[in-house]
Amino acid sequence: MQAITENTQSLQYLTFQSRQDCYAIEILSIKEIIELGSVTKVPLMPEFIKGVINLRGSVVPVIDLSARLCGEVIEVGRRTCIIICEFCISDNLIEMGVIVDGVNEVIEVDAKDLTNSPQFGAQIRADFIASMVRRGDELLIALDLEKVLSVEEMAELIELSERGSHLGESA
Amino acid sequence: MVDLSEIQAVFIEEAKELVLQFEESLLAMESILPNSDDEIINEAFRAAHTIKGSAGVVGYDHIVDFTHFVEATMELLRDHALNPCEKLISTLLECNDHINALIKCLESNEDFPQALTDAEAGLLESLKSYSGLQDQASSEQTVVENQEATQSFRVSAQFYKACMVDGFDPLSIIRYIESKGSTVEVDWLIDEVPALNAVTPDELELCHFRMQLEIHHSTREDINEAFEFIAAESNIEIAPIEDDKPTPTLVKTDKQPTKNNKVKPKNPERMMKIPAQKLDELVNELGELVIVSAALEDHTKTIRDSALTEIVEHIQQLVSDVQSSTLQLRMVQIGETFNRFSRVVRDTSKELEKQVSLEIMGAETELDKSMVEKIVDPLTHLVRNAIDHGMESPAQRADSGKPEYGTLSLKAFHDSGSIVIEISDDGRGLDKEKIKEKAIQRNLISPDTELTDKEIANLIFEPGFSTAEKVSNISGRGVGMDVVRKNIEAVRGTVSVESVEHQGTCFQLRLPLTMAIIDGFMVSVADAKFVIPLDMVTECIELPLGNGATRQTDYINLRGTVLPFIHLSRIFDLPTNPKIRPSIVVVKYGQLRAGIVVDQLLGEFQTVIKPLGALFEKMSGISGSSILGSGDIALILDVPKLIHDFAHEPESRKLANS
Repeated sequence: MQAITENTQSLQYLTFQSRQDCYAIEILSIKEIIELGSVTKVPLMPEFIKGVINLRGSVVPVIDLSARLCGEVIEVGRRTCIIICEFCISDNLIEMGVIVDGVNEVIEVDAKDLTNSPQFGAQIRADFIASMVRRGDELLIALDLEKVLSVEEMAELIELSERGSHLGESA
Repeated sequence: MVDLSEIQAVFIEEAKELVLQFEESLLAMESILPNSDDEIINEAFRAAHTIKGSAGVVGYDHIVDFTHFVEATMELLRDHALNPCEKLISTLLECNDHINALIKCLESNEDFPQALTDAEAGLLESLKSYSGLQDQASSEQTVVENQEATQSFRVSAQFYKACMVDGFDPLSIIRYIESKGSTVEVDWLIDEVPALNAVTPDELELCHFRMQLEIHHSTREDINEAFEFIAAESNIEIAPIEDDKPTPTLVKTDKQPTKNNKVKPKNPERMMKIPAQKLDELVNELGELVIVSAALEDHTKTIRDSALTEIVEHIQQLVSDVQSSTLQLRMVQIGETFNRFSRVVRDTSKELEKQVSLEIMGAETELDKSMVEKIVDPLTHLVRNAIDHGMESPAQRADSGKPEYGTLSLKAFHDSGSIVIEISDDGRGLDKEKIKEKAIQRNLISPDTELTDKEIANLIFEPGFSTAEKVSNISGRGVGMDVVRKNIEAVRGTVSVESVEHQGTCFQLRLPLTMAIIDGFMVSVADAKFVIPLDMVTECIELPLGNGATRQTDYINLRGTVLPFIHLSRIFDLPTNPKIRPSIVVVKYGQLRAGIVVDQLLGEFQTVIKPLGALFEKMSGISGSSILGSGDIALILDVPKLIHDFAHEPESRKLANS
């Protein structure tokens, strides 16, 4: 955090809409944006796992961002699309799709326009927020992708959800 | 000049094989003690010699220095100046481990840790203690010292023609010489180089030139060393220059390596080394091709053009041929892996003072190279366990009327699209009562659970289970069997155990042949498509009428036998369509047979397995995914897991249904 605020160079962010809120993701971890095609459902998954897609021959999991952030399943609309993110966690290259309600634009932000996240008051979990981006009078939430798309955490949620459904069946 | 790091990588690969070869020969030597076999000793000598030689070529002096002593000892053995004994071979085996450790350090680009250096001193000490060597080593020392006084030489070399084909670059030899003295001039004699238009393609790779050089401040030893590997075939002349006048007598290289010393590959069949990654890429691309050709076939069906159909069929045939030969490239015989265990068996049984002989069957059985790498650890664990827990001490064995020598056998064979590896011993077998007791104590089962013998035996794979009362160095740390099972399941395999008390234990690993491509049988439930590995499917039948959702029991009478079945829609929580009459796919896995109820059968097709990645790792019931010709994704069912879950949850299921 400290490093970012002291850095004077400008950073690029992609802004997008998820429900009523506007978020930003640093552009370095975005591979491409594709339209919402057919997503293959994987059985017994928690709501935020939308399924998997075929991205030119590789199978990529797709996350419903709205469900992941605030537990409400996305309603597919005209501007709904998938942002394909690519980032490294401990030497493993993670490729994952994120469904959002539409992308807005790529903005250039001066490092001095980044501020720390508020202690409370945000709609989403505090550790999902990397920083706040000041944009004129507006404040956007820059997401911490490594946290939001934490494979470890989501895998555990998947396990829980599976076990839950098995229990539900036998109860 | 060729990139040195590339050569070093080749050296490391080669050295690893040589270390294995050396170990094998040493073990062979040990097994025929007190006799000795010249051929085996020669083989071991060659391996040590080649390690030293090629380490020298790539400049790993540390390995050269150490291996030199090992080689010298082997030389004594070869010349019968020293007789092999158990202790000597043990020392040599330790040296072999040491070389291996050095190579590993080089591979990971680490510095040699202090422990290694310390161990090395000890090993050298014990090597030198074999009397003959002491003299040899010191005499060699004096020889070197005698020649320490440097001289000037004129060297003329006629390289043997195929030297470059064999991997010797004259240039690197010259470079080496240059480092051992100061060369004044190097003349390349090109009179024998044919005109470019007269060269046949075969001749292009040959070495046509000769070379002459003058070198000062060098020793004959050093120069000989430079030509060591090509001296036998090439014509090398080294003449000392005294007072700037060449001596009239041309002395031939005095070190004439015997035929055995040649670093030529023994196998006349030309082999090629390919990085595994390139092969993986090829398999991946081939996977894409398979998908596209399936798409092409799909589309052709809608066009109804007979000529086109014929071409497409031809292409499909070719693709499937290419596919099988590509997969063949990755196949290796399991024997090489099995042989490694002779060392494990030897060391473990020595340490535990048991007498065990290893029997290997089905060494020629082939499986995927990547699979081999994944199963070495679990296999090692099982082998050690068998000796530690399974085998009795010789005295106990004699008491129970068994031969003192226990037999541990490794057996591999193919069985309906899987490879089966069995590790069996004729030891004391599993103590069922003790296992049950332990399982109850650890809350793995409730005391009143009725279990068959087989189920009890398989409890040892549950996490946190270990019956060893005392923790030994070898096994019994409680991390054992469940890790074995996890590793095997990670490659879509299964492990089970059968045991007869006082007669022995048999572990069975069942593994898929390859991890890349499967023949699948596609089914659908609601909108979702699933793939069942074809080699597990035995037949498909219609679910008998009136037996659908209204049924209380989930089994049918299949030609006189009871066939339990599961509803995929129920397990995966998918909607059911009452209009569709479901079918049952009968699957078999090992001893288990079960039916899977699905909405529709969509037929066979070949598909590439795409892993679902870390995110879905803990998911059960699905083992992977595959891309269909249409671009859609189908999920591959983890049949063993489904059957396993079913077999272990019938009671809770019955309760749920009643």
